[in-house]
Amino acid sequence: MDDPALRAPHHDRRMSIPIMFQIDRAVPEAKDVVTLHFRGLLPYRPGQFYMVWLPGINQKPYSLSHHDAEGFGITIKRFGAFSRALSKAKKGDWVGFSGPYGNHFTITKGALFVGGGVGMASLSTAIDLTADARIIIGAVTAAGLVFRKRYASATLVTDDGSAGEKGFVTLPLQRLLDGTKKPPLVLACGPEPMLARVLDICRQAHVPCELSLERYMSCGFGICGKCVLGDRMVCYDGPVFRGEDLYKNEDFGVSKREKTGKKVSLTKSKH
Amino acid sequence: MLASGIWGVSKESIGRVLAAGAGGAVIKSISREPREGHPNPAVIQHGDYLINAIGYANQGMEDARMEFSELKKLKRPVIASAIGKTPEDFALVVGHLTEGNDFSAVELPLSCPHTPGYGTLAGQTTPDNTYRITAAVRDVTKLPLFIKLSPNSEGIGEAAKAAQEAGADGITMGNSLGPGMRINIETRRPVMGFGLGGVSGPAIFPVLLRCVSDVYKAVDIPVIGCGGVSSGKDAIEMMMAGAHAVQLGSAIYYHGLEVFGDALQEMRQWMGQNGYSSVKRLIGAVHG
Ligand SMILES: Cc1cc2nc3c(=O)[nH]c(=O)nc-3n(C[C@H](O)[C@H](O)[C@H](O)COP(=O)(O)OP(=O)(O)OC[C@H]3O[C@@H](n4cnc5c(N)ncnc54)[C@H](O)[C@@H]3O)c2cc1C
Ligand SMILES: Cc1cc2nc3c(=O)[nH]c(=O)nc-3n(C[C@H](O)[C@H](O)[C@H](O)COP(=O)(O)O)c2cc1C
Repeated sequence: MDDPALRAPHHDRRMSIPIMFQIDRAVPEAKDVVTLHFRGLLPYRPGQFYMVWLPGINQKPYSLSHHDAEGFGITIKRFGAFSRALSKAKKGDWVGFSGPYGNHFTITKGALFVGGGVGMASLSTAIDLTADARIIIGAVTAAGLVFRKRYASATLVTDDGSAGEKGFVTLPLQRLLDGTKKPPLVLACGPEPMLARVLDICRQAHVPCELSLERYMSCGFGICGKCVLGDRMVCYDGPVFRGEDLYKNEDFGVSKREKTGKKVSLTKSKH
Repeated sequence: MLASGIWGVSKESIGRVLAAGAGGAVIKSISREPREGHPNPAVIQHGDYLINAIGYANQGMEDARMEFSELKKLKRPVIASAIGKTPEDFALVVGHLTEGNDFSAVELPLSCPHTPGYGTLAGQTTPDNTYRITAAVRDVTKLPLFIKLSPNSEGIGEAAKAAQEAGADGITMGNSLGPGMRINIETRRPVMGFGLGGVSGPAIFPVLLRCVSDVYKAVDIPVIGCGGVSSGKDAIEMMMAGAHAVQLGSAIYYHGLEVFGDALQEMRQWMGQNGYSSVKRLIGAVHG
């Protein structure tokens, strides 16, 4: 994890006070998932995140799911109060962005992407920069698949079989890693139990992987310590971690911390 | 040494800060019950300062006692930090946290500028209240006891003297300055989730340096300098103003965890070049 290439240099941590943009358009993506598009420029490398502020409400971390010369976008899945408020925001509403924070994915030709649910949001800008990318998109049901139109060639998997293969993303992943055209790198983002399985499979197949993780964050820039994960800090060392570093991490796939800092089991919550 | 509230939420993260070169660390301040703290943005940064209104989010003393068990393994001093709304509260939390744990000392922040019921918003840094809280905790612990004061309070010397009279072993000078605020001009709203917050980082260094100097003159017990320190030379300046030891926190934003190792190296080098064989001669040097 101390590989400088995987680490955002400290002088890159700028704009730690929100810069305001007005919503240009809101586009529904899937069940409970919406993309907010903004016009304007923000520096970004795929895998990084911004602290996104709704004035007077709260502020939480989001990846950019769209990033080009015209503007940028974030894709939000409704879970709790904040993501609900963000999903309801309308054209013209002000949203603040602080960042970019964190490290980024390694862009590698022929890499394999595995996105579970809204995890696709943090992979998409990396996919857009990757030549010959292969993609697996998973969700609980067909309605929850994110970016299936944007990536028409992707392999689809749903828990209930309502679209694509029935089961978990680990099935096509296992097949691709067993096959003759092994990808040079696997990049994944999604629920942590899924990521833990992805890591196991990649290790067995001797294929390196980079996993993007989530923890409750307060500052986003390596000061408050809330997003601690074993002896690592998700905002300071991540959010992208190399599989071999996570394998030794005592909290990965096991426990997370609540707002108060209390350690709780990952499996007991929906996370 | 690491200042309270930055990184010190778990034993693992404290271990990492110590491995980066910190000589010791203060844990995140712990209250009786768990606290969620204030809404985000809870920390912002601009130019040479940070503003924070974390609002003492912490897991509460029950969980914290388990979190900070077996501290001896870390091999360097770890200092407990406890908060309360009343002197009895402070004593209860300190008693609970330190029982069966290997803390090397206790620090009491009487000085948080942005949490209702605590610190300066509850008048905890007046000389009277400083005396009461210090005395209550003195009764329950034999560990070295440091009282962390606010740079805002008028007559810091008086509060420091009250702490000394009540049995404190040192003064940490001090907490963040303010509170301060920023307004988002597009939406005409305060940026901080709590509306305001304590100001820290390099911008407050001159103020805290003067406070350390005032406290050094007022009391006989050691002073721990804290506020805006971000290099070895800053630490030397703090010591010349009267600090026996120096804490830092916000500097991690600007320089990463490497700041601890780098500052130590800079201190050693400067002292070598300028003929100081020990830090003793630095302490209070400005006062002749
Ligand atoms: C680096 C980083 C990047 C992120 N990028 C995105 C992104 O691009 N898009 C996005 O939608 N979110 C993203 N998130 C998550 C986001 O920051 C919020 O945590 C999320 O929107 C939920 O916030 P909330 O306040 O609405 O829900 P909370 O009030 O925090 O949660 C409400 C309930 O939903 C559950 N829950 C919350 N999140 C999840 C989850 N992911 N899976 C299952 N259950 C969950 C909680 O356990 C709780 O029971 C990212 C997080 C990080 C750390
Ligand atoms: C994010 C953050 C959280 C803090 N939390 C606490 C705390 O819980 N207890 C405390 O005594 N001081 C707390 N402080 C104050 C610091 O310990 C320190 O006194 C102050 O930041 C000045 O030092 P610095 O400029 O080196 O950061 C906090 C500061 C910051 C920036």
